[in-house]
Amino acid sequence: MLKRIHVHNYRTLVHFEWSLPSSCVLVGDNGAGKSALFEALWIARDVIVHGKRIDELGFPATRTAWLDEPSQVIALELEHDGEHFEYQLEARLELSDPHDRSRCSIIEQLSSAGDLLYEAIGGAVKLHGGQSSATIPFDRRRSFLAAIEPGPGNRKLVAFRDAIASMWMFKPDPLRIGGVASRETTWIERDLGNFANWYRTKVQEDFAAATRLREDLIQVLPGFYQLRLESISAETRDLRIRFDFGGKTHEVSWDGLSEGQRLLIALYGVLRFALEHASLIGLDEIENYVAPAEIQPWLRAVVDAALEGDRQLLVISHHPESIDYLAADAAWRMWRDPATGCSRIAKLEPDLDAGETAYDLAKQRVDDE
Amino acid sequence: MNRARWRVRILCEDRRTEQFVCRLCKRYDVRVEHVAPAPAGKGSASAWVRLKYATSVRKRRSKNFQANLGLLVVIDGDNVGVEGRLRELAQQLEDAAIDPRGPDEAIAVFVPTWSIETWLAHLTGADGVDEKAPLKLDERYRVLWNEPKAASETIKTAVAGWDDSSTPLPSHRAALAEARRIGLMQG
Repeated sequence: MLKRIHVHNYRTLVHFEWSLPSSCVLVGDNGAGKSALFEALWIARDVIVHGKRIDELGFPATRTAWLDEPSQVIALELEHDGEHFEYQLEARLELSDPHDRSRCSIIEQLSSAGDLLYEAIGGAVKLHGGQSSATIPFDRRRSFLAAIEPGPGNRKLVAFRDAIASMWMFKPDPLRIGGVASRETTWIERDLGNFANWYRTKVQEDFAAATRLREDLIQVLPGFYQLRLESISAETRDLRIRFDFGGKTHEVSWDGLSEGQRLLIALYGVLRFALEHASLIGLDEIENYVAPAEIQPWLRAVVDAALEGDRQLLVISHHPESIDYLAADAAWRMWRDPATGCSRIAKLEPDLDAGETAYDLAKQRVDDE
Repeated sequence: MNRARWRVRILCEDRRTEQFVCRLCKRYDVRVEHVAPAPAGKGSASAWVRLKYATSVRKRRSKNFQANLGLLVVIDGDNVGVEGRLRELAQQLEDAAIDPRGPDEAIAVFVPTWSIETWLAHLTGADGVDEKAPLKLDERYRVLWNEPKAASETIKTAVAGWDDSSTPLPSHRAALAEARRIGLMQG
């Protein structure tokens, strides 16, 4: 479980600190910093798990516009399988040439229960553990954590990386979810853009989940019968959807679906194939393109999965239905401090004795309170 | 002729109650159309349910042409009990100038007393359960719901035992009668 996040000098997040609940809906005006917070988590994940270079991840353009500081910081505190981890990632721009994005490096530090496990400064990686420590030269723009092979000497480092890898965040974009599966992949992109490739892999790996997905889609898509991958070349498959109305079957291509239908299929795919492997599920405005009556059953299934598996659920929403449903766990609001422009966060506490809802509070402006 | 599959809208106090009644609906093949749980906040969740009751009834009645659409309201009995809660809810309708609930109307009210945890403990066969005092924080029963996985298992077991308790608690017996209004029964 992610216990705390600290972000500094990233978009509107300046010395931003949040101790996270186990589940909540995050509300606030556009530009309040909600998505920036998820992006920061996603960047940490890309660095630690996928070994991406920091300059490929928006650095240094994502620095806070009104600050003139060379360093961006993302710090995380989390618990996973009985271990307590504290990690800090600092992306530093070399001031000798502020326009050269390649002149940057990362500084990292990872500790567990107060013991330093790993640090990386300017391309020198130090692994601490047991009686000895080792120094390894490495690319100053990448994390060595992504390259570590599992072994008895680095169990905790790998456990930390696995913990970060199990944080899944999604900001679906139905316009980018295509139906051509040109290859197989085990990773689903944040916008679900590669859903067809991912589905092609998952449907072969987990038949039980594929069956549950079909059952879900029969419930939520009128006339739905099945998803089918059709070969259109030796390498490529086309995702097609078969409908049955009044005993008459017809098939449409992925492009023949509405954006809402595409999104629902992809979201239920995530529910059945991905959530079992997640420790944290972050959802950023999933309701666009679908009706409230369509999204609440999906959210209920996600909440159910989160509760059963002790998973953390964080949802960004502007939608009254989603906000009020998810506020049964907790609702937090982000806003911009009128004096500084920096993002702030606070818990919403509706007055139940007055019949107040979280959405009632969410739609009030902070300076109205 | 078979009646169409029941659908239900739920108004309840918290996530645990929601989990229980949604699973109950699944057991009886009743489709949950919408759930409105009280938000986490300050004050009493039962007060929140009472205050939302009239609006929920009005909304249900606006769809009276849908005979298979039900409303399920779940409110803890606490120290007020089943009859007391039913009176409070009836008063809410009267205050809002709404007709009282009809004897066969598809609006069911469950009043787990003392709370949903009392039902969970009873329906999973725990000893010494009665409706006279809260047991949510009682050390003897906390193992049933203090961990998410344990709570999930408890709810599954409780739903399985919903209609085969030979000695139902009074609030559970009342709920078994209410359940028929919205198709939560065998056959």
